[in-house]
Amino acid sequence: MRKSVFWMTALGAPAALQVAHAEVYLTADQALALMFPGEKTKALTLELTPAETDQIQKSSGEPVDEKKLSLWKTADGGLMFVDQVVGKHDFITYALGLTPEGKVKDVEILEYKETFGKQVMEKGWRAQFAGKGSADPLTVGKDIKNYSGATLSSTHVTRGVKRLLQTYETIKNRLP
Amino acid sequence: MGTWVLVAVKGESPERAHQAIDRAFEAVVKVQKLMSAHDENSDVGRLARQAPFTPLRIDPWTHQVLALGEKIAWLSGGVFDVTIGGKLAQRGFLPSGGGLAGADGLFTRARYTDIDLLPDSRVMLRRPCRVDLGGIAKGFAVDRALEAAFTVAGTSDVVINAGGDLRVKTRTAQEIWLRDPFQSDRFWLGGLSREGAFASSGGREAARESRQGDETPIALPGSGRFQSWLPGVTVAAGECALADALTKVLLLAPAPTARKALEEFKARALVARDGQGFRDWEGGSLSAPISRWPKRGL
Repeated sequence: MRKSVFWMTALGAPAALQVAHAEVYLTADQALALMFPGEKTKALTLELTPAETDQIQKSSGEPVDEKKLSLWKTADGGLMFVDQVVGKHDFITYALGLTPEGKVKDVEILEYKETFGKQVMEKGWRAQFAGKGSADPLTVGKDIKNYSGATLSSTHVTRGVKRLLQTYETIKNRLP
Repeated sequence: MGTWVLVAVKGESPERAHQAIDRAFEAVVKVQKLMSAHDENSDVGRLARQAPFTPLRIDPWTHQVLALGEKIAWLSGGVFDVTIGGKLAQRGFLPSGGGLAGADGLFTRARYTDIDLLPDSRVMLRRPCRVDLGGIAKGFAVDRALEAAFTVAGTSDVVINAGGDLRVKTRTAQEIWLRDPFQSDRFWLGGLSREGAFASSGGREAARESRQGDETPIALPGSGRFQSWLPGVTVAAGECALADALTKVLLLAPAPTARKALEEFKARALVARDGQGFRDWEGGSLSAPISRWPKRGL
């Protein structure tokens, strides 16, 4: 009997570590509630055409891997994208909220799998994006501060936001 | 607010001065009603019952104090954290439950980042939070009371003191006396001030209210460890709410963080460590729990 107790403990520890590394901080619905409190939102399904993909890659300088957009819209034209970028080794899932004018309302981290670089979750860092638009440089070291210890995460999230702002410019006229 | 409040006013007539005092107390009572952690119907009480991810409208004053709390939390690397209420309740510094029976354990995981301040004086929680605005609410009450007293025409001098949070605005400089945090019948002259806001924390007095008797209600949010010994600190800043928050930063944060926070707000700090009076804080971390209370007094 005693032996089996020891086995249980040995198995328990790695399982707990696994959980700690794939933390979900917010669901998409929760992010919507934070960005558009009390507002009704609708999920949209939209796929980028090859021409649009080219256009976004050209204007943002970033590759577009995912053609299917995860997108929500509010009654007055606010938008929220959910997207992924690679941090150092693993995906960071984040949400980008836009005002009806296409300016950044907020950036929220939904899921963060890596152990390091979590500073990008801090509100003070994310707040730098507020009010940015597709004409802004959105470059770490220029208009977005770097975080020592989170250089890759902050660079990649910033590039993701830049790509999504160009995505918005490209598709805004055919949004349902 | 769990403390006494003193308001002294000089005006052009006794009637006017009384009127100014009444205005000041009205402001204090309003803050008490909004921000008491002991009142289920205050904004703070409502927050404790609020389900995550649903917006709650609160008074602009409460919103303002939460915003200050968020700023200080960010500047202090989370050392100052208004969501400490859950841990305070567990230790008996606040009433249990906060409206939810047996919910204390639920609140202890909260951090200041779990509170989102929204436009239009609304707020949203990311997880259940037990907020305690304690000291900064008290400071805020003193700040609003001073403003309120000066809305009465002819008011020329006002001094307000609420349990260690002191605000002075007078025509001639006042002596600011600081109670020795280790021996409550002794006072030290802190300086002269015509227009200032001061807040004091720590020292032996802080352990008085505790259930354990030898523990202060001041904890490092990360570890949740309550400090058993604290030096006494007094901070002078632009407003009492700010000064009060900065006393906690000074007591708990590493020295460089505390220095940065003081510089950011152009605040000044005095520290008493040993019953030998106050000195200008010149750096050095105050956060280490140095020892338990000396058994035989100082």
